[in-house]
Parts: sequence; structure tokens; C-alpha cells
Amino acid sequence: MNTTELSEKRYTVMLVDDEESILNSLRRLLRGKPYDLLLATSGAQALNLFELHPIDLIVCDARMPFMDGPTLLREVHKRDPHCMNILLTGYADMSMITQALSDGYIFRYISKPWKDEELQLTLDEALEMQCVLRERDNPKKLISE
Amino acid sequence: MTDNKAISRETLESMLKAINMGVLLVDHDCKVLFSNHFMSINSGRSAEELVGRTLFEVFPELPEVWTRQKINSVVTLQNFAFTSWQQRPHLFNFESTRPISGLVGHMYQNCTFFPVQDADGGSLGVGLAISDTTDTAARQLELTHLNELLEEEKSAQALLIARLEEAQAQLLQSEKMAAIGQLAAGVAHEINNPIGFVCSNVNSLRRYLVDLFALLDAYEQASDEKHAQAHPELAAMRDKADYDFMRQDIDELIVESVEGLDRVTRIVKDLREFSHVDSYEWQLADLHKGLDSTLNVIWNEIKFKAQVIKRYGDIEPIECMGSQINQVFLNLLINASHAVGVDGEIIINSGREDGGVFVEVVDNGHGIPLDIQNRIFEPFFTTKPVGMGSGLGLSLSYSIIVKHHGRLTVESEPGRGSCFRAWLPLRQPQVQAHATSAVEGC
Repeated sequence: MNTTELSEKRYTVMLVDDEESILNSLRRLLRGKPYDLLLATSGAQALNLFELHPIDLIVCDARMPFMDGPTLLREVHKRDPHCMNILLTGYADMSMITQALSDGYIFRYISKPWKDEELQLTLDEALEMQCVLRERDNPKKLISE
Repeated sequence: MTDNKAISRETLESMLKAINMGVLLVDHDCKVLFSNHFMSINSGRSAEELVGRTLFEVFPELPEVWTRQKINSVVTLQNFAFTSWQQRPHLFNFESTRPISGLVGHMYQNCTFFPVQDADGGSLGVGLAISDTTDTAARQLELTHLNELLEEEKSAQALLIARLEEAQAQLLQSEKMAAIGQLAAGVAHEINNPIGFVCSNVNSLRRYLVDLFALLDAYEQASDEKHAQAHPELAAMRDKADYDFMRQDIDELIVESVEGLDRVTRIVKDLREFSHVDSYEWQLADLHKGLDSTLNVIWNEIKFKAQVIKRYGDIEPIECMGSQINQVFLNLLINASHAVGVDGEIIINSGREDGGVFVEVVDNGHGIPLDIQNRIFEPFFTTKPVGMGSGLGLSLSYSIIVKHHGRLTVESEPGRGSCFRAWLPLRQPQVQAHATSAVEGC
């Protein structure tokens, strides 16, 4: 695998929020990135998409009706521990965030309103971290490629 | 004395002897001429022992000068004189058994001095009628004692009521603050969503515009004169839209919008930090941050009324309950803004002092009249019109500062302005163990 291939690697990123305007603004923000974006407006929809596509990273709102962010991300983490989960919180509910972080099913949290650069940086870091983790857990695959 | 022959002189005399009160007759020199049974029983001396001697020989407890004066005045004026048990409780040193308690004590007496004439109408001497008022006195004294107890109880109750009022004031205010905090948290959550996508969209829009303008520039460069002549409507459109201005203005427009959004973001954040719903805990807090976030919250109320001058000194974080200290700042700043008139000026000073820090809120307003300066920290005391002030702000501030082992003082000159000064220690004595190392704004 050479550097050109690495830079051309595309990631699949899923955005989950019950408010479509948030999804749209995130989609615009990440437009220039080498991501294939999937959008979901509910936890159930997100899980469906998760079953259909291999997903590298999820940005998910904390507060949603029916299935909230932590519940969704916990489920995702159970199915694929390599998927990087980022929680978007409208208000800093520290106890929920600390719990989520210490349970290990989210990589980072970002509080709303987010700063665009910060969000992008967090996504970059998360994906970089994912590469490292995948290499560590599955070195043979890399060699065979 | 009487013309009724049926009642003999002996009868009258024996009646006088038997009557249940003391009867004495003395001459001008206070020598005893007559004494009855009551006197004998109580003094322990027979009438024979008493008669013929002066009052002061047989009753040494009698104040001689006073008694002689009394007797002389009765002789001279031929009029009554009186002394009551309240004035001289135990004129004669007699004992008495209290009917209720059975305790033996001194007998309380009233004594009447009355002029006595001889058969010719001349002055024979002075009669003394001594009545036992022990019962009355005992009752009266008991009542007085009870009254005193009642007074004590009353003042204790007044103290309790004052404390209750203070507690109620605090409860009211903290309920109010909790409600505001909840509201702020709810509002913050609701507002942060739209702020989030609007901010992000504005940034995207800025990037889009950069690309669009680059595209337009490229088009412009690509179009030659011939092309322009072929399409004059393009130049017209360009003029109509005021393209050059628009292009220049769009940058400004975006920058201003981003600034506005930043401000909304900060206000929401300040509102949350100010109300501090989640932390009623002791923590190390930077008072300047607290002052700033409080100022932001009430900026609307102040900005048209007064100029705010910050003269922050170099102070270190102190151990306090940030949200409560913010309430104090809020109250002091609001009061200052209510006090000032035109050309209002509010100065905030801070600095180190006495191993602690102080914050002063100084205004050039109407000041506080001298006669109420010591009442302003009382709960429910207010000079503001009904509905303007609860009368709780300063009393609450005071109790918050006291709870922090600090001091809240005021100096005010009517017509010149007021200076409220809060002094706080760096560390709280009893919560030293809980001190966290994290420094947070309050």
C-alpha cells in the first residue's frame, strides 16, 4: 500500500440526528472530505444502515426520541468495536458523557454548538486512530493486500 | 368618737386590739402610747413591753429619720401619710408564712399614718395602721416574674421569626434560582441545536462563496470584449445588482453574522454558567470570570443606564460556591444600576486584602439615607416600588457572604453614591478537605 492509495482511501461516515438541518449542515461541512456520507434521522434507521454498510465512523446526537445516542452507540460498539463513535451533545451532561467514555463505546464527545475546525479535527483523529487499531488487530489483512 | 352609749369604750378598745392589722399610737416624740395584739404577735413582745418606749427602741429596723419626718408631717399638716409595700416592702421586720408555698418570709406591709386628736381636739399624736399585704405582693411579684418570662419568650420568638424569615428568603431565592437554572438549561439545549447548524451553514456558505466568486472571476477573465459587446445585458445586470459593492459587502456580512452567532453562543453559555444548575458545590473559582459572566447576563439592564468600569486587581481563585457568589454580584450590580441616574457610572474594583480577596461595586447614584443604612440587609426591606424589588437581594447576599466566612459592608453618602464591598477568604475553614484542584469560572 503506497501513500497515494492511502490518501485516496475513502471512509464511510454516518451522521445521526433527529433534526435534519443539523444533518444538512454537517453534510455541507464534510462535503470536501473523502467520506461517503450516510444520513439517519433516528436510531432505528441508523442501525438498519449499519447492517447494510461497513461504517468507519458515526457522529450521533445524544438526545433523540425512541433511541437516544448513547443507546445506539452502545449497540454499534457491541456489533463492531472498530467503528469510531462520536457523541454530539446539546448540553454538557457530564455524568452521561463520563459514563460513555469510561465504558469505551464512544471515542470523543463534541458539544453543540460545535466549532467546525474542532469537529473536523476530531474526525481526522478518530479515523487515524481507527487505522492504527485495525492494523494492530488485523495485521495479516494489510500484508495480504 | 361615737355618741352611741350602747358601745362602750372598752368594747371599742378590745375591738382595736383584736383587729387583724397592726395598730399603733405614738406621741410627737414617737413614744408608743398604744399597741394592739397584731403588733405583739408579730413582734413577739407584749403590749406592756412596747408601750412607753420609742418606736426605734422596740422596732430598731425602722428608719428613724424617715419615720420622724413622716410623723412630724402628719402632726403638722393633720393629714394622712401612706407608704406601700412597693416603696418599703418590710417596714416592720415581721415574718410571714406564705399561704400557698408555706415558705416563711418577710411580711410585706402597707402602712397608713393618721393624725389622732385628744378629747379637746388638740393633737394627741399619730396613729399607724399596718396591713399585711404579703398575699397581694406575692401575687404581684409572681405576675411580674411571669411577665419577664413572657418578655424573654417573646424576644426569643422574635429572633426565631427573624431566622425563619431569613430561611424563607433564602428558600425563595434558591427556588427562583433553581427555576431559572432549569429554564436556562432547557433554553440552552433548544437554542444550541439551531445555533449549531446555523454557525456551520454560515461557514459553509462562506466557503461556497469563495468558490463561486473564483468561478465568476474565471468567467470574467475568459470573456473578451467581443463577448461583452454581444451580451450587453450582462453589464446591465451587473450594474443593477451593484455587483462590486455586493462582492465587497458579502465578506463583511458574513463576518458580522459570525460575530452575532458567537455572541448568542456566549450568552447561552453564560446563562448556563451563571445559573450553574449542576454545581452547588465548593470549588476554586475565578471571581473575575464570575463577574464577567454575570455582567453579560444583565448587560441589557445596565448598558443604557451606566458605564461599567472594571478595575480588576490581581487576585487568585478562591474556594467558594460560584453560583452563589454570582448571585451576590448580580444583586450588587442590579442595585447599582437602579441607583444611578444620568451619567451613571459603576466601578468594579477587586484586589487582595487581609489574606483574602475583595470585590467592590461602586456607583455614583443617589446613595442610601443614613437612617436606613443599617436596615438594608434585613429581609424584605426595600425602598423600591412594589414589584420592583423583593427586598431579598441584599439580605440574601449578606447571608451568602457570611456563609462563605466573609464580610459584606456598605459605605454610602446620600447624593454621592454607594460602595458595596464583599471580602472573602481564600479558603473555607471547614471544607478544606473537599477543595478540588480544578479551576473553574464561576
